[in-house]
Amino acid sequence: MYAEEIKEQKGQKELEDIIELVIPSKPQYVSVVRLTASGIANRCGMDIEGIEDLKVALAEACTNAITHGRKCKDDVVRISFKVQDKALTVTVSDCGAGFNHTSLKEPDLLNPSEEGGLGIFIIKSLMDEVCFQSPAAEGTCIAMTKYFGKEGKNG
Amino acid sequence: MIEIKREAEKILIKLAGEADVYASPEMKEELYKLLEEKPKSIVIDCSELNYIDSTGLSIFIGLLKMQKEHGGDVQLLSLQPHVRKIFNITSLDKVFGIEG
Repeated sequence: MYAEEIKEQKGQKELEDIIELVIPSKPQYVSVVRLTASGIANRCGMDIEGIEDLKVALAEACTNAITHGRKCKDDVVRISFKVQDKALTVTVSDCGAGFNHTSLKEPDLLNPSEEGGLGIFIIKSLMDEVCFQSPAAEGTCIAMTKYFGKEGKNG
Repeated sequence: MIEIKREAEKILIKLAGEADVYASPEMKEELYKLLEEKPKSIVIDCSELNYIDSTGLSIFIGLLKMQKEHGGDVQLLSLQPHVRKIFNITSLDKVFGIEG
């Protein structure tokens, strides 16, 4: 509903609004990111299941950024929300050492361990598209997209 | 927030709030302390657990592993639908005893 209203205001142009959030790289602010995501996704007209999926995926990305990314002066995590007509793309970047996502093993789910791989696995399961960029010395950046309505994974 | 009750060889735990990267360390510390009693069964009421992610899951996984070492188990009760979904997609629903 809201997305349509916004589209009308902009005429025929494809919608592409950006909302940015920068948080200190500290665990207590991850809930603020979840609340923000929930508000933005609601404004886009995303359904409740989609909003819950987005909240978890985004929190996983922030958790990774905070636990692996605290190795520089600029101790922040940057979150960018790109609102489009049929999709919401969220990008989370930190300035840590980066990691080689191609080397990640699929978690052994029936013989689970306490560490490793679970967060990324959850992100990939809940979002429609996930893309990693981890150039050396520039930190890690993860971009994840959730489509609204019929195009999404969950119908 | 954690409420604890004891019943014969069972420990009943009620979790409330959000098991995320901020709340999990404290939750982990409190729950792992209970393992020293080597209970036969740990039953966790999740009806007021509003949110879980991998940091919360890892506590549950740790609890189950340590319980199994002495032949105990972990039962989860009344998961909210979106919390249940996280257990389903990670297949942890097959590892834990989940009711309701």
